[in-house]
Amino acid sequence: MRLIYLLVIATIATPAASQELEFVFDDELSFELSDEEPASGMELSATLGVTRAGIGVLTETWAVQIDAANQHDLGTLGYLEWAANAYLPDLGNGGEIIFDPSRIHLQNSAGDLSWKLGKYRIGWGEIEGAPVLDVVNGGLAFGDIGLSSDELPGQWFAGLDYFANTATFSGFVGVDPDVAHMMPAIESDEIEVGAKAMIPINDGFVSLYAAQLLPQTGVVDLGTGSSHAVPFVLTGISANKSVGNVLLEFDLAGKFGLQRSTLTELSSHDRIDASIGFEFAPTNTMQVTAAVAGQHWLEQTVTYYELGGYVADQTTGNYIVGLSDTLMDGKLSVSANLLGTLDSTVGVTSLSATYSYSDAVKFGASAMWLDATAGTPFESMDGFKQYELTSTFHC
Amino acid sequence: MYDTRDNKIRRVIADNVQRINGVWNARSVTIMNLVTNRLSNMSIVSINFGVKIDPELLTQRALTDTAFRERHLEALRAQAK
Repeated sequence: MRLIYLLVIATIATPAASQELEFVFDDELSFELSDEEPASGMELSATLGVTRAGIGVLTETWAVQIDAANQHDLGTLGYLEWAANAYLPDLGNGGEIIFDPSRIHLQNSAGDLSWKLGKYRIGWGEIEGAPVLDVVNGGLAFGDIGLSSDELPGQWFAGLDYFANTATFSGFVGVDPDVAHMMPAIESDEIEVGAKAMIPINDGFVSLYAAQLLPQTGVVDLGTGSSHAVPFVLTGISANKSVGNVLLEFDLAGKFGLQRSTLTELSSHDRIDASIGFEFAPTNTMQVTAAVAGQHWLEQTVTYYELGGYVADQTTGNYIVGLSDTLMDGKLSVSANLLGTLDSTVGVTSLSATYSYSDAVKFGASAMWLDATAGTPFESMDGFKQYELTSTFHC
Repeated sequence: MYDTRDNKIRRVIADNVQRINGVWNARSVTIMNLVTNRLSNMSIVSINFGVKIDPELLTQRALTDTAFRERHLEALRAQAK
């Protein structure tokens, strides 16, 4: 907390220049390397938000969200970390509270091995959010998360890391994969398994991947109207390399056994996904990111369709461009993002700003709108707009 | 501290000077802005010199392996006692 003191200072007098000035304390900083272990404490915050969203006529809703997170030392068992939130999406009309334990895991290590059990997220690939290698966690859609939160929902994993001299080898088993279905689904009890090797290179890393995964979203059989999630095999490679204040990023994946639908049935197919991007820091506070990603089906002998009867192209591509900066000595954070398809059938623009009034109080504002071309899968969302104001109080 | 016209603009006061592990250190530093009549104070409540840090703590493993990181931090805290 900023402390303001009025002091009358009889200055550090020198015989030549003795003076009396009225000084105001600008800041009081205190640095401590404590000889005691810091006490574990729960991080608790409450966010109140108002959202106006819709197509044409905007609907106003008030929501409140409580976020909590903590870490516990369990001795020889390791460290238990968790984060959860309780979300009331429509404050004015009551409704039920949605409770989401977004992360809870037990972690420990011995020698060169580290293991982690529980619900958490695994980040694969270099380009976050690109559907090339960052596909281990469940997919997100509109309404999947509540008010602004740093915690995205995890999945249940058992993970093991082996730290060799310079390389790191990781493996996981996903015991309860999260698949989003948009139609009645055929239940699956499949698990996911994956392995990754991360090898350092000059000013960067190269990583190799192999996995058997379930798709993040079920594939709808247009013949029966049912949604299916069938395991597919993924192999991939990614790399990053820093050049000055630019970080170059590259992801490449082959996916074998993905499902596609004709008007009558599902069939199994292979696809190559790739993305390339960069992160550029022109100043100490500003960051510019850009990436393009493409997907190419290796076979297109007949016409395939997506949900809604839209023809699925053999090759598709999308882009994301972002700019973020912090101003006013870090009190104000602003960001702008543009994303869409390379053929311009869908475009999303989002702007956001967060102002930290103090360590305990933050205010946020965001705006997002979507444009889509008629005759494409997102046409029903064309003209969607969302504006949000939030106030967050940290305890 | 002086500006380009040789006007005095800041005065730095080092106070509470102590010798810790052979290193002299000012535990309190006050910067007086003589232009705006404002001042800032930096107080070092606790500090240790000559602490041995295992280079392993400065690897990527420390970012993801909580147990590994805490073991190394406990070793640092033990040296500070």
